[in-house]
Amino acid sequence: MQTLVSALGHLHRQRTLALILLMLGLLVSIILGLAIGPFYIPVAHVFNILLDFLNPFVSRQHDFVQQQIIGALRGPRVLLGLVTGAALAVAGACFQALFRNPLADPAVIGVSAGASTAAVFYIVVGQGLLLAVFGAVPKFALPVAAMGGALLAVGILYVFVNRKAGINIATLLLAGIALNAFCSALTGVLVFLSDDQQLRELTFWTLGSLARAQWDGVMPVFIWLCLVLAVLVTLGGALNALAIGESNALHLGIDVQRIKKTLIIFGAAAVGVAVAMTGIIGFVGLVVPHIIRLMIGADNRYVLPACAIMGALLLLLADMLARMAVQPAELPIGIITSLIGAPFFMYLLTRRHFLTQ
Amino acid sequence: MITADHISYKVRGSALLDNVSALMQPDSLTVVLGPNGAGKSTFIKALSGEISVQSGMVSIADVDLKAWNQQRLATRRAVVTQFNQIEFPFTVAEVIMLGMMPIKKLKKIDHAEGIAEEVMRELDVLALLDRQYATLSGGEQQRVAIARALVQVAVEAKANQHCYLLLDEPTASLDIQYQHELLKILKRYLLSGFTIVMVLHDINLALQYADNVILLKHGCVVKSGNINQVLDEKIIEEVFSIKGEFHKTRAENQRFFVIN
Repeated sequence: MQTLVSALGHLHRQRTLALILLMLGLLVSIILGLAIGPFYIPVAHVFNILLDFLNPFVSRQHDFVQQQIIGALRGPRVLLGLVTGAALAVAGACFQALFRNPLADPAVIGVSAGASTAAVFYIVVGQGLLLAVFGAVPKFALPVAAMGGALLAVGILYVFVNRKAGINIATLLLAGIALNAFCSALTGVLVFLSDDQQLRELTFWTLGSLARAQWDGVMPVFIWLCLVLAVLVTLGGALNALAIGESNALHLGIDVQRIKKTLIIFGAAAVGVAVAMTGIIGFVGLVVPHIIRLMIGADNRYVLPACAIMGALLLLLADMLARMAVQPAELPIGIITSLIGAPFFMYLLTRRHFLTQ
Repeated sequence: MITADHISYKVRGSALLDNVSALMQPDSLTVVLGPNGAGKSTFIKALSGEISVQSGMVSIADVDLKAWNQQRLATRRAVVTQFNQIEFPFTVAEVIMLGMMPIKKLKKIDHAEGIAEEVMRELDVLALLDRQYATLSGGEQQRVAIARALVQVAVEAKANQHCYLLLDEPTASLDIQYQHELLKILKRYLLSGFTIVMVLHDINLALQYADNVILLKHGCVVKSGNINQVLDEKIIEEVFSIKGEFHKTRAENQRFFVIN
């Protein structure tokens, strides 16, 4: 008969192995992300250029064009894909744990909708207003607007849902539905008001893309999201307790209200900033946690870091596809993730159904 | 010892608990009986701190429940609620080891798995170890939930600390064999320093195993005390609106209740 020690040991080994494999996969996709594109750079050159970046004291001769492509174009793009993929996936896993529902998504509580509505508002109204008043448009006005929208959405939810007795999850979900409906109506009005050129911009933005990545924009976002993720990933143990029910978690000595607030605020901060930088990239937050749980089970102490790695990996691969599919043009990455993510999600649903029957 | 001192809990004007006072003795099994809607679950929730009462005070070991360090309390007081669904693919081993979380945060435990395994053997869930919790039957899930609660206080109980168990209808989805198994196990726990409070619906199960009873109706205590002294035909009719008779088994002189 199997013992508890051997069962837990087996799970631990299996999960550690999965994490190592995922990490290796991520490294490979980072290298490929830098190498592959309409202009192919041999992997050996990518390595050399990277090593040189890391060690500025040794200077080697590189192909100038290759160095520029990696340094100025693909570098920030890969870094942005990496960190937004991780943020979306971890936020997805966190919201699912929060709502005790494996189908919950960052979009469910209306954070993405808040972000995108604010962005649409900026494109249709704000841009012209800024031009009229200041005579110029600040570089990061659009992402800042989207981030503001996400935070506003969370703020509204928080004020309406947070009661003395605590945050009721059912109320939060329903409030999310209302917020989503309101945002989409607002977006509809704005789309109706927009002219041809704005409409084009809107479409591109709502489909999601990493093409806006530049170092001065990506670095602050990278640092910000790393901090947010660092907080979220430490919540694994508490999320496990939350999975057996809020009252059961409370009886395990967990400060349930504090954990829920942390999840909501930091989860929204992750999604808001990710959406702000890249537009809406769907299904990462929904599908990645599912794949991870199928791979390594439900223990959030492993699921959260695994989601971060897998989310990053998946988004880098999707971005490579986006760059290669219709070159020299590129597809919005949101289309790729949805095209792959939606059917895969359907497949997972049928499998899940099959398992529980 | 757990005491409820004049506790009241109202929701939108209607009192779910109305000035309830009760004393749950150490080393004894106290059962909470009453018809549906009497406030039994609310009473357990008030004792566990899941809801905070609007007036009165709950205390455990003469310390106000609110004054307890919640982490420390969690190592000595476990609760089995009626809600034990899990939507994620946790294995039985993982669910039960969650019970070790509070004590592991406070100190390093050498034989945590061994202690947990002992409890699992008692509740006959050792064979379920690798199974996904969500695929278990209702009764199996119930046993796992109880095992998790017992594991939670097992370390402190072994260290001769007095421990507390609150169980809300723990026998609800158990078959008749496991109902009696569970109550026998809990009776054994009493010997090593436990205060156990549980909601039951089966009067005969209560008569057979409980030491004391708290009879609730409409959020008020109708009567409480030693179960054999409190329960008679008249009070059963008053609380449950049913007529019946108490009899005794010939062999063990055990009282049981039959509805007329």
